[in-house]
Amino acid sequence: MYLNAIEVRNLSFSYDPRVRTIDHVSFDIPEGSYTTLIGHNGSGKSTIAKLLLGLLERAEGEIRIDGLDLTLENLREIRGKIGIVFQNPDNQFIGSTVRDDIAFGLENHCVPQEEMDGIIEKFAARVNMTEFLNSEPTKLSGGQKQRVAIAAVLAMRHKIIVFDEATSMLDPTGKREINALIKGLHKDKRLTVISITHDIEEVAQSDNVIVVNKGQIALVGTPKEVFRNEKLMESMQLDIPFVYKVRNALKKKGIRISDELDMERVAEEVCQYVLKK
Amino acid sequence: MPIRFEKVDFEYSPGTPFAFKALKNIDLELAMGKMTAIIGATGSGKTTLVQHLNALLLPTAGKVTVLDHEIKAGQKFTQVKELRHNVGLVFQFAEYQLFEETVLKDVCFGPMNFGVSEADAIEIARRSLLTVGIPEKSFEKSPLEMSGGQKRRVAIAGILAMKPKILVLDEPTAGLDPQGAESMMELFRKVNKNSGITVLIVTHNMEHVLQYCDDVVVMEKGELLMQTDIETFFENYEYMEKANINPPAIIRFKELLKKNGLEIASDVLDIDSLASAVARRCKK
Repeated sequence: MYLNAIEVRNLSFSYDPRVRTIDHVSFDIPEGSYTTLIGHNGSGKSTIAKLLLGLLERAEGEIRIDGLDLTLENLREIRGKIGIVFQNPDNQFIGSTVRDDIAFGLENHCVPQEEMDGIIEKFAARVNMTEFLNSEPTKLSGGQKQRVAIAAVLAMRHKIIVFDEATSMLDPTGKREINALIKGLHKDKRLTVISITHDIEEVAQSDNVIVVNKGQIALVGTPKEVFRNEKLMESMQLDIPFVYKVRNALKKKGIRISDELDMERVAEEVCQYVLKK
Repeated sequence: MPIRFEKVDFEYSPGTPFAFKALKNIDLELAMGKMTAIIGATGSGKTTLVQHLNALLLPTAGKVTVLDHEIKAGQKFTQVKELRHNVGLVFQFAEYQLFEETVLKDVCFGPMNFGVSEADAIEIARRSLLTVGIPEKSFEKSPLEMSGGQKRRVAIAGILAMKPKILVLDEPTAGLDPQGAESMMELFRKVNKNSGITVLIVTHNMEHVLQYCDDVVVMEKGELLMQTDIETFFENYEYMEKANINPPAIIRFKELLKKNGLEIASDVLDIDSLASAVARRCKK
């Protein structure tokens, strides 16, 4: 058993030899954690994700996935451990029906035909898409397409899933659906979730945050530890959660509250403060 | 001269098995000079509604009045060019529509199409580009060399260069990161306040509705559900929950304070006023 799902040491990569897109990056992602990866556009977040999957070839450094070094030789085995869900729901639907789409990955991994239907149905049910198994992609909403992408990744029994802004092109209903689904999947902590996101509330609820800036790791820590560095966050044009903005505004008025991130508890705390007086 | 919809229906592919009524009996009047949000679930008719404003779609029943143009169902509408001069419509993912070889030429296209001389068009285009935050040094670039957010700004400059009285934006911040979206909204506010252009925005972002808009129009299944000002709209928490609308953070926070016995006035809609209101309660 490894305690880290992912270990990255000294990772570097360039698209253009004159610019280092990823510049000597090192970090660990604990097994079973929900880690968010944040940073300004162009900071290198998605490039890191692609390097972890072996979709891009690193120039330097080491990547270890679930205890296994990522090399060209064991790429296939690595891809059995880590999967990715991309941003655009229209760019990752391969099959002509939901069933075919989930089957695609299984076929590639030579899952016997007689087991396949059972697996497909099980994971379609996990993402609430059973009634759409025979539907064509054009009949599905963006949120439903992303559900299918998630089912296809789950069916491969990956231990680690990377979500690369998987909800950013969805409407609010689709966003909520997918966020709730990911949370549910992570509940028993057997799955390691890495989410690249701009959604500050999702970040606030994650276990760990990795802040990427200009191809380097600027900050790593729990949400509270990261959001404490307000000046630094601002200099990287990153937002802080609403409750911390409230906290700052109250502080200016001489009212001090704790560093709690949960909105409900902050509200309770403010009320206790005011109503006690 | 306002924008008025009177008993407007719109049906896609009428008389075929695919017939679909996207707008049902819409009665709506929008005042000029304001920034109005048009919200509703995907498929509720928001885009269909705004595409009537520049006669991209014609009503299948009823009448649409925009400025002094009347568009009646079943009658040929002859003032398309004048109307489109007055009403600029920016589509979703507008950056896909750029086609000229340079940024400046792309923005000149609109005014020249409406008969402005080349020299004047260039002058107008330069000013429009500066308004949307595209620097001089980018004017001669190919639109293809620019980032997604910048391309979208160029497309918007192209519409502004036609000097419309009404600017209609269909999900102008979709797919942008939060900072990009925010500065895009600032731009529309500037256009609205400084040039007095009436702005209509189709959006899903409730934080933007709260921060930037004056009024809200809510669509549901092709019908007009509600039209009201921002303050009244965000006061009705139960309604938002029922309509599956995720209220802005400050509205959710105020609702939580209320549940814990601290009621904050409905006109408190930003963090600083909220802190002041809390501080005042402490002194009592």
